[in-house]
Amino acid sequence: MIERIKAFRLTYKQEKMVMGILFLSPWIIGLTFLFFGSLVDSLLYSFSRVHFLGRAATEETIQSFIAGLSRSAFQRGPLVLEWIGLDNYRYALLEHPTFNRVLVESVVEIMTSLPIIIIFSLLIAVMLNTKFKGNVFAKAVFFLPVIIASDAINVAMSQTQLLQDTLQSNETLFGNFEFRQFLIDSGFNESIVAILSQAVNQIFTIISYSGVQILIFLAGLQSIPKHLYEAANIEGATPYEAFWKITIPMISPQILTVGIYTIVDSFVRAPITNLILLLVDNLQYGYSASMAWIYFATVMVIIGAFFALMNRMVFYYDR
Amino acid sequence: MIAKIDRYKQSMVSAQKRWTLQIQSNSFRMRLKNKTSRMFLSLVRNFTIFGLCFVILYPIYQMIVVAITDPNDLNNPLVVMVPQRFSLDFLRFAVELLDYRSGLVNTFLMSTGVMFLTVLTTSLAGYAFAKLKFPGINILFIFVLFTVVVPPQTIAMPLFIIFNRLGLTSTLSSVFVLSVLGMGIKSGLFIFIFRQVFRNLPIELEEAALIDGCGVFKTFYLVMLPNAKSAMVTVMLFSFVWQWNDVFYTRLLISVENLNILALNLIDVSTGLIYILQRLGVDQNLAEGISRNPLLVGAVANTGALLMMLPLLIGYIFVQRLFVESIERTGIVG
Repeated sequence: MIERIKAFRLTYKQEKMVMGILFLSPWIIGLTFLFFGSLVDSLLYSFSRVHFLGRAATEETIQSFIAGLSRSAFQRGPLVLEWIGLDNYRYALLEHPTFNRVLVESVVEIMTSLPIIIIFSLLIAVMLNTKFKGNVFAKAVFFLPVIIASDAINVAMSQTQLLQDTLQSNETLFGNFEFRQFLIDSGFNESIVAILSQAVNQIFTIISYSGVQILIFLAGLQSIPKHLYEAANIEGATPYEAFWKITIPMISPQILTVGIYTIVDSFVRAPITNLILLLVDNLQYGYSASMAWIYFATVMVIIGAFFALMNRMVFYYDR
Repeated sequence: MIAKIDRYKQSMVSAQKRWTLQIQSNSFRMRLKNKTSRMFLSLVRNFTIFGLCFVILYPIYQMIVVAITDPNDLNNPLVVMVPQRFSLDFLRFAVELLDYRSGLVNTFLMSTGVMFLTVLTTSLAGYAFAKLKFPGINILFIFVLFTVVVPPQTIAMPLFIIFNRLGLTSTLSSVFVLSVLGMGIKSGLFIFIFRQVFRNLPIELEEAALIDGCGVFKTFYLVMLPNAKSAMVTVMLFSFVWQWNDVFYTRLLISVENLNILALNLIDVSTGLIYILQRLGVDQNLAEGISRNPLLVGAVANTGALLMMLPLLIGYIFVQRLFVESIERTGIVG
């Protein structure tokens, strides 16, 4: 009897393993063929000059074309890759007129928006997590930007800037000029004031990019056990102290998640995207691939730095 | 001696009285302080929250207003917040330019298909990562995180070539294939969410299902999936909405000439109004005149944007409660 149960268990375990591979198979196919296939291709492009011989090119013409090239070349799909080493990277970093500037712009944008979005979404999540009248309505409104945030709409709306100006008679929604002057006069660092006033001016953009982050924080806040706050209250802690000593440590894993999500989320709308895709349109695959890889490496460095910085501060309650 | 004790007693009593008085006044002051501080906090909170709600809702309101304003009123500085003369001219114009009807059908088909396929693949993968361990699965999960972290620009071009060789570009099947193979928009994130939720389901559920005679697939389909409803709602909503709004993959794999997708049409409207007008058969001079008026172009683009987000807004009104609740229950943790 025991042996039979054991045998059954073993087969169940085996079944689980087989089913596991089966369940994962569509994703594994996608990973190997679409993802890694593309990744390897793009890496190869970045080291070579890419020639496209047209749709009608036959095997012979391609072979003769390869033979005619001075450097070593090989065929990859419909393209012929001529190996030129690091020339593409050299071009992107040293010769291209705008790449460096746009790259730095993208990185600076990520770095400045990262703390603002984290702090803003945490604040909003803490506020939304309390009970008050209109709570459900406020939550629904705050997630609205997640639903309607689209590049297409952004592009369309950037066209309507003049329209907005006309409608609002050239006054920004928040006339913060005087406040800014006041802050500078009272001895704040000018660069900090500049960042802050920029944040205030871009409040709509910040809200629309922090919807998912607010959700993540809200979920995290609700998973904090209530008895911690009760104990702190009995011991005489003020809500302010409870926030710093309980909420922040308990929410620190989510801060890590939110930070990485924010960085990842800013990829597609970074200004560098247009540059890379423009080169694709002009069939300059090699340049475009090398730029994409430089961008990838930069982003990985940012994520790694953020992870290393945060990982020390993260506190796991149940470990 | 007795007098001494009496005096002592008296002093004790008076001290006690003093203390109680002090404590009472103290607690009264504290209560007052608590109350005022709480009121102040709630005032700040309500001010912030509803102020920001206004910041979010106001542009949408403005878009609606512009869409139903008479074109002649656009320049009128006296018309603020509420339109004076109504007209559907901009709406009609934008519907025509966006090719709204067929675009809506196509976009809806695309997003719905992608939604179901994404949920299928990512829930299966997430369940495998959570419960069906086999050797090497942890390395595979690192690859999931890797697919999230790699910017889509890096693989965009080779991806296009692969799909081109398969003959799938400029049809809806390209995005369908992408999502069924788990490589669609942020699929890695969805796998992560499903894994998180399935991992938190107790092992007893699985054991009970096993004793009742369920195989692995039946356990997944009949027991686990209904328990992960919150994750399913979250993933379905996000994949639908992100596919609806997406420009990057759609522009890469489906070009405008072959298929009407609202997002692509909208970008077209804002960049090349004059070509579209000519394509529609508007007189050359008139078309140039229209496209040279930035106010008019802005209003049309604005109306187009409104038309594109309108179905999502209407849908959101119905599902927002479900959405908010389920996403709070999903609990994405690092």
